[in-house]
Amino acid sequence: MIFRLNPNSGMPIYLQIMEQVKHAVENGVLRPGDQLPGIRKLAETMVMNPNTVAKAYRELEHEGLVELRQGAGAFISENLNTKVVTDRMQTARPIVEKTVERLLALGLSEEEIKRLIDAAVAARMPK
Amino acid sequence: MKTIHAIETSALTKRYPKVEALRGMTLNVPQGSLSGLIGLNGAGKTTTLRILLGMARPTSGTATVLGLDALDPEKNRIIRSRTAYIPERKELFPYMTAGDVIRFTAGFYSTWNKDLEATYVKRFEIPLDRKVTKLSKGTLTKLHMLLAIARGASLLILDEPTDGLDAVASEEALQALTTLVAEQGTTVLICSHRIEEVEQIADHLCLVHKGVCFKQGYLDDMRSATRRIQFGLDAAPDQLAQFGQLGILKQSGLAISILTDQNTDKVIDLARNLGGFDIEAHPVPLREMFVELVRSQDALA
Amino acid sequence: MLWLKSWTEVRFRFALTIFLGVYILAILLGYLPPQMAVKLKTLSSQDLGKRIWEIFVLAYGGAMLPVSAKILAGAGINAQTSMGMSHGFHGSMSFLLSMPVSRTRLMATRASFGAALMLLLALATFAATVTLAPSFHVDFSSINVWAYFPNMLVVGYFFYAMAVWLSTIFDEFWAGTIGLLILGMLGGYSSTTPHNWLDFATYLLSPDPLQPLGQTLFLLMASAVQIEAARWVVEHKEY
Repeated sequence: MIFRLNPNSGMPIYLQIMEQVKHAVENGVLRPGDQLPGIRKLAETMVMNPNTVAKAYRELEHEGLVELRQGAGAFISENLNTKVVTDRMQTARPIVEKTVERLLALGLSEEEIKRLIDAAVAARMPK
Repeated sequence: MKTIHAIETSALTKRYPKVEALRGMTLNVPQGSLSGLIGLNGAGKTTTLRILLGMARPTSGTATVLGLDALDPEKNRIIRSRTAYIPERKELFPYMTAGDVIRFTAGFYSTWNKDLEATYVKRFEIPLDRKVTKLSKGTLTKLHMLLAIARGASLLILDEPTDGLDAVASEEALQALTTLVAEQGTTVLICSHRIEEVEQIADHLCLVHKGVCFKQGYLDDMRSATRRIQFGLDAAPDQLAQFGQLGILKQSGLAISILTDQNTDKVIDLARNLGGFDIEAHPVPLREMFVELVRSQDALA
Repeated sequence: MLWLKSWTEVRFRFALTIFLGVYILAILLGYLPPQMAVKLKTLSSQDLGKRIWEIFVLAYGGAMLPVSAKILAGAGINAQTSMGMSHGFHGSMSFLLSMPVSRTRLMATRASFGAALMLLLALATFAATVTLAPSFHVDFSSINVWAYFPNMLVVGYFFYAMAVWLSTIFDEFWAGTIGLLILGMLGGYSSTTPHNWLDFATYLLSPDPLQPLGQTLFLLMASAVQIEAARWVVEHKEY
């Protein structure tokens, strides 16, 4: 699992971490039972605040995607919740693909489509 | 659950004959946090740090560090025995070698960690036998970082700790700090002009301007609450005034941009209701946030 | 470690004061006696010795030792350079003051270290003068030489205390300049022999140790007051 974090974008780092873990899971880069980098190790490698990494892992655990095992570290959940996330993404993918096709049919360029989607997402980002 | 603060100041004022350096500086640094103290030159950052460390006395107000009254000379000495300071001026004692200065500092702290000392002498490549007056700016700054980290302190107060460090050396210094926080739970207060670096490692911020802390809180909260919302609208003056109440407004023809803190939903709803088009909301990098907030503070004055 | 810091700051200055001591000895024992012997042929060797001793007491005790005191003195707060001419407070001060040590202790360490070196210097110079005199055919046999030592020390420490409190207020350059100015003024005043407590010339030439007692007590008190003033300044000044 390799993280690409941008601390200067204005987007909270813990959200970036969570997002990239979810992305890795649904693409199969991370599988149920795989271990995530340790909080201290990740903070040290990425030169980021360890509290931020800890927060990301806690939120992922809260959502059922990750299990924090005392003394051992953080692991991708073996149970249903993982499947729920992956299923969710699998349901979402055709919705997005259909929308993109419709926008392309209207004559929008790739850049314009991306901008519309980014703006719509940003306007609704969680507080 | 009430947060424990490593540093708490309340309404600090500091009046010099010709200038009022602090005008009611109230700030709180949570224990275990890595806090950034950001402000322009002359905003009162260094004056505040000097008061916390007993080098200056405020005209009025109170300051508590690690639970002790910072304004009491004897208590302040105890505070200093648990604190590591990197000053803005990096010069060290003439005639001493780097090794001498390390031994000098270690002699004052029973919590000195010899393992950390050895690790960082090697990692920062400190030439122990060279006189400190002959060290390059970067090496001198790294020596200060070593002295701060190896001290075993509960609190680090760092004034421009990456001054003179190139990109690679800065990264090493910041890494040393995040490792220290992760392993020891140390509280760190960084005062720096390198906003991007602060944004990278801080989890808490105090923004200061003209002797006052005008905004402080957790960085993630600020990131979540602050947005720049852009849209197109042929707006009448009273409509612009409405937007002006919700944030910092910029307008050029039909293009309108609002930097808002906490009012994202209200702005978007208002824009929609008034017929705005092409509404976009973007997260705001810290530098942009800070510069805009400072400018609006000046405009209010 | 504060002792080590004091030593690194004062060692070159100490060397300078030793050089000044050697210089004055060279003049006093090597250059002056032959000159004076020629001019004052009629004097006995003992009387000539008395004249030379008088010059030594005034030149060393009244000028050289006080100047050495100013060179050796320090308040431990501002880092000192070997030339002693730097303007403003040294950049290392913030770092030093962030150490968990009281300012009084910083001052006391440096001030007592310099004072100890000054005692060593005075003893060595005095002893050297007295011991080497016969080799240069200078006759001090009719003088109770060590009786003059205490008064020389009292005067020396008066100016040492002055240098300490001046360096708590001013930077190196101004502390040194003002100190030397005051020394010069008091020296000039003393040379008019007004016979009061500020008359250092008469005091140094007194053949009885620590006499006049009143003046001794006055000078010791003045030294103590200046040291206490220095301590007060370092505790209250904002650096």
